[in-house]
Amino acid sequence: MLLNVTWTPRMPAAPPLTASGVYLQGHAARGLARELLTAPLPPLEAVFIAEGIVLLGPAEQLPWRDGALYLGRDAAEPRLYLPSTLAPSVPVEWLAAALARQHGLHPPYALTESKTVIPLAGARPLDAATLTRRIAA
Amino acid sequence: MDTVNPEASLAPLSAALAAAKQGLVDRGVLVDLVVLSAVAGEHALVIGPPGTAKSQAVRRIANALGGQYFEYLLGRFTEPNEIFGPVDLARLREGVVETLTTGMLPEAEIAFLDEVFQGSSAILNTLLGILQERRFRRGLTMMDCPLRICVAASNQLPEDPSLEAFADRFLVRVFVDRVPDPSLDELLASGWTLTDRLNAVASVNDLRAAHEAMRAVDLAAVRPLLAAALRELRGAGIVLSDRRAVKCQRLIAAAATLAGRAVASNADLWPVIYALPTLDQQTLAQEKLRAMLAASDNATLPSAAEDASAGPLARARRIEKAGHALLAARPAQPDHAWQLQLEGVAREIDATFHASQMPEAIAALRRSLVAELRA
Repeated sequence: MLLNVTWTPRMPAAPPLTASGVYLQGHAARGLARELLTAPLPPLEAVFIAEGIVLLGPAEQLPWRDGALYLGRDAAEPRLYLPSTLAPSVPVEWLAAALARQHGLHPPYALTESKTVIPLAGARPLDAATLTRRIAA
Repeated sequence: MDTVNPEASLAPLSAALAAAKQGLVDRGVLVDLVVLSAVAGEHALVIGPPGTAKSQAVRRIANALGGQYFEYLLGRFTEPNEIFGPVDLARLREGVVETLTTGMLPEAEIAFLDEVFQGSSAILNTLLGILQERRFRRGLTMMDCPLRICVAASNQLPEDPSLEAFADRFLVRVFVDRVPDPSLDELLASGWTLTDRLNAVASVNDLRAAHEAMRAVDLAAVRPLLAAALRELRGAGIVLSDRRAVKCQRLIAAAATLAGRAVASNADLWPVIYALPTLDQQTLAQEKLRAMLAASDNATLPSAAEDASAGPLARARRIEKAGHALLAARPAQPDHAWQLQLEGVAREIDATFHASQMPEAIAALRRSLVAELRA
């Protein structure tokens, strides 16, 4: 899904968004899924997509992996998860309105710098069975 | 008075700050501002609910500085004797009113007065003289006070106009609250073992030397920036009194001194936030002055500089300090807990700095963290 919006670093004009989600793709996502099964699961919600996994929850619970994209929410539209270090070239409320009007998309979802939209309405608490199925897939 | 090299005083003051902050959760800003105020020759007022480590933070920095410390919780019925000392009965029999001040506020170098606005007018009037002139007068007793800083605390700002005038003598305002939910685990763990007994790692002479250096700081370059900031604030409906505006310069000079600078710059403008009397004003000012404070940077007072400015430099310095301290504390057998802490710092770096704007020092720290985490 392509959007006509550009992204620029938030600092110094504005502070970074507080991380409340993380998006991992490919090997990093699969490696994380395997590791999560070896310990008590953190209190996070997960959305699984073909490219990877989005985890939602408090910053201190989010895992770190090299290449992870941390997501935060702007108070102007808290149902949109945006890259925590980047600001879109249009107000987030306009972004949400444009996505709804032009593409029939409604929050919650995550937007990435590569202009990908990841629907998050299906977010569910992390569970071992789902993780196992994803690893096997 | 001993002659102390101002530059030589920075290291012990930094050590005292680090020692005082260790084990405290979310009180780094308060500790930084106590030292900033002391170097500036000003006093600080802390507003926050009971049981939020206000006195503990002040006690710890006082112990670390090794100063003569006086602390008291004021109540509506507190007598002046309890603060300033009892009347000398022997002299009273001779018809002379003198005060025995040994161990009392007039002889303190660092003072903490909790619930200060509960004090009677007799106490507050006498206190005013000590705060403004560093001079104690009561009966025939007149003495110079060695007070470097008085930190006062209250649950809330006074509404009585007569008390507002007294409150205005405290240039620096710090607002604290209960620790946020994410920090509760850390609070419980550190609170179980925290002790207020600290060995002095600096001395009041170091404060004195820094204060003298503060008075010699060149403010020529920063004055126009301060004036611009004050105009910006006025445009937002925040009006600093002329007296507070002028005294702000002492805080800026103190920030420069503690950063090791003899010439103040835009990196030292951040204390202006803490000269604003209310929390709402401070919050609005942080937003209005964000661009002006973006260059804020202070290696000795990283918590306060970052809190005031939310600037990238100050934030980077804090993360860098925390990351290197963690790497330096590498256990012989790295365990899961240590790795989680490393991940926490790496997470904060990646969630804060876009790769295109990551300061080189942070990028280097990140490389070190990634190397450890992949090992």
